[in-house]
Amino acid sequence: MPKVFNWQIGREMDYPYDGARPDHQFAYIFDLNKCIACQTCTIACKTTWTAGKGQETMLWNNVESKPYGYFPLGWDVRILDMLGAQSWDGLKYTGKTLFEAAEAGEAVLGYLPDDLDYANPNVGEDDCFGSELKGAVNGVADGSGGAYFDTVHHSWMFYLPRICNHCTYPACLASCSRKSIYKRKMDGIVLIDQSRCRGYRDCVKGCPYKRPFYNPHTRTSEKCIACYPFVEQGQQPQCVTMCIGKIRLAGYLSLPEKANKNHPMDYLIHDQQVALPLYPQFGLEPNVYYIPPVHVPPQFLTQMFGPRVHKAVETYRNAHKDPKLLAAMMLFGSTERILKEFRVEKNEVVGIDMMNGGEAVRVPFTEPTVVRPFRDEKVGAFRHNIS
Amino acid sequence: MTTYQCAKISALAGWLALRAVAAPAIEAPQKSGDLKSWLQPGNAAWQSLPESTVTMLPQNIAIPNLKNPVFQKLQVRAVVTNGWLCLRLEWEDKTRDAEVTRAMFTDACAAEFAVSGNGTDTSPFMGNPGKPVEIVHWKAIWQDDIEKGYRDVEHGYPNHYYDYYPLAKGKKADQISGPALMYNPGRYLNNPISQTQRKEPVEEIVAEGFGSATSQKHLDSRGWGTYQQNHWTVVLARPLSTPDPTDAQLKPGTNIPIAFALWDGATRNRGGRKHYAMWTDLKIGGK
Ligand code: SF4
Ligand code: SF4
Repeated sequence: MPKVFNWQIGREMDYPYDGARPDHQFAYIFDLNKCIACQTCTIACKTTWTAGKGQETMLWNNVESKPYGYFPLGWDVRILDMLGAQSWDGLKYTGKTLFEAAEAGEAVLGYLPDDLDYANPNVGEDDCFGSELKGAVNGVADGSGGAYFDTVHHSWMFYLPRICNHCTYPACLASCSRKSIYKRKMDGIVLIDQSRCRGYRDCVKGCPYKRPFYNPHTRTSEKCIACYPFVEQGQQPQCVTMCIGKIRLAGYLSLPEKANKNHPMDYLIHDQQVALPLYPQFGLEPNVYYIPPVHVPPQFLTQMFGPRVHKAVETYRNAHKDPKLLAAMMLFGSTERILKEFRVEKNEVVGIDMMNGGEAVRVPFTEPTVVRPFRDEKVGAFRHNIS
Repeated sequence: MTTYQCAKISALAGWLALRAVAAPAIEAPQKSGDLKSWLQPGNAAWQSLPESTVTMLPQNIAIPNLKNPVFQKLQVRAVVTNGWLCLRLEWEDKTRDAEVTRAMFTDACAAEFAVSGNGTDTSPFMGNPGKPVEIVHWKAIWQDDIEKGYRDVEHGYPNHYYDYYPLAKGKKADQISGPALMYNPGRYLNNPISQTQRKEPVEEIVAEGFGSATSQKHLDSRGWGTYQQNHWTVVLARPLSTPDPTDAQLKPGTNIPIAFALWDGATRNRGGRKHYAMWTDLKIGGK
């Protein structure tokens, strides 16, 4: 089997095809400290792409509450369990990737979810978070457990928005015996050819993130297309621009050794290393990078985001001291355009449009505050708060 | 596919092609009677024809493999009638699987011909580059599409509720057309797998190696299957000669190689996860 280099795990690994990186890799950053699970992203995606027959329970974008929320049910704990122990030696992953752990006769270690695993997205997953009075002192909850669970950890949780990671080494692509899945040379976006797919669902089985979905009406599998018609016009995808929490930024990402410190994606991912891949140990080199939730126990974060997570949490906690870091993070949700560079100008950050090189956006560090007098002299009336 | 995989597969395929001669022959005597009656798997006339037993093996050459085979043998009878070759395939299958939901797969069978008519120059494993095979493929779900109407979301999920589908005239497959197909890319692009108005439960495929199977635009073959007492019986029929250059041309009085495949929906067989048979000699009756 050919060897390819995966920088996220710091080593070469087995992959069924020779390594061929795209000319540019489209990537995302999601700041998990800011997501409020409003599901606007989910609905933005659904109305844009998956409102048709056969797509009823298909969520190319979903937001789940960790640690007990999953869509489809148990997606990550199941594959983590199948993979077994995952060890790191510093920044090098010494365990097996999903390609290396594949059984004989399979391209990748995986499983096909059961039908009911897709049946109840989000149902009940928040019920166990610390609202109970168990262990309460004088009627005040101590936050030590969940409403239904007796043996759980201290009360913490976070929302995890998920889309296809447009992986550098996609397991969906590696699993498709018909070669119906391709990774575009121009931007690294991974697509299922809808004229060629025969609905075998080996991609559904092979993708550890469970991002391809079977459509029982067309009998083909479908997945997130990174809103490529937008991207081709220099615009960020729907789930990014619609995000209420402004937690998302999307653009092109360089390889670590070619990082441009003035490019917001490169700067946050490679230079500051504040945004990290989800389950890098799977070996797919996923291209959605998460700013980890800083209040979550480090063991859990390490399993989910790898050994760089502690430094990332520290960097994020200190972001208020670093104007450039703050500036880059203020670009999230500030423009529909894909940016190629940013710079700080006095107390503003300026984002440069990737396509035309012009100024796409200018965001002040602090929004100006205006205090209006209680009485409006112009109309001769008091300003009551009657809204 | 990597060079390593290619090398491994062609080495194996060459070896298997040579072994083909050893399998027992299937006889297809020439008989009268119309195609319509021979297309009935239950037609009593089939019982008077010689039956051959074909050994089925789990596909374990190309990735992905079939791990847990459930079929060991396939009973085959054949007849030549009015310019058609009819094959009657019968196998034991404990469950009838035709509904397709997210986690279910359909039962299916296939017969394969070397387009050149020469089994020593191409592999029974989906052919070789430049040496195509032609496959007549039947699926239980296609049979149901024709007998009961297009198997759809409402059949797999009877209690499913969805308000409406944008731009569609209604919720049924035939009410979703024109601009509404923007949400059904498989149908929009005329993917043969997404066809909602099937006339026959079979399709013809041409292939030149693993992963290359392509549905033929022009369908000459016909088919029909029945499921009774834990058995599928399926008749696959195709004209001896066709206008299609990617079809095998079958000449009366000759021997040609033929191979078979079976899929069990219940154990999630699909694509390469299948049971296959090697090339077997088929004696085409008549002159
Ligand atoms: S729209 Fe943004 S804030 Fe709302 S759920 Fe999605 S990612 Fe979270
Ligand atoms: S996340 Fe899954 S579907 Fe998306 S590219 Fe990676 S392997 Fe493929």
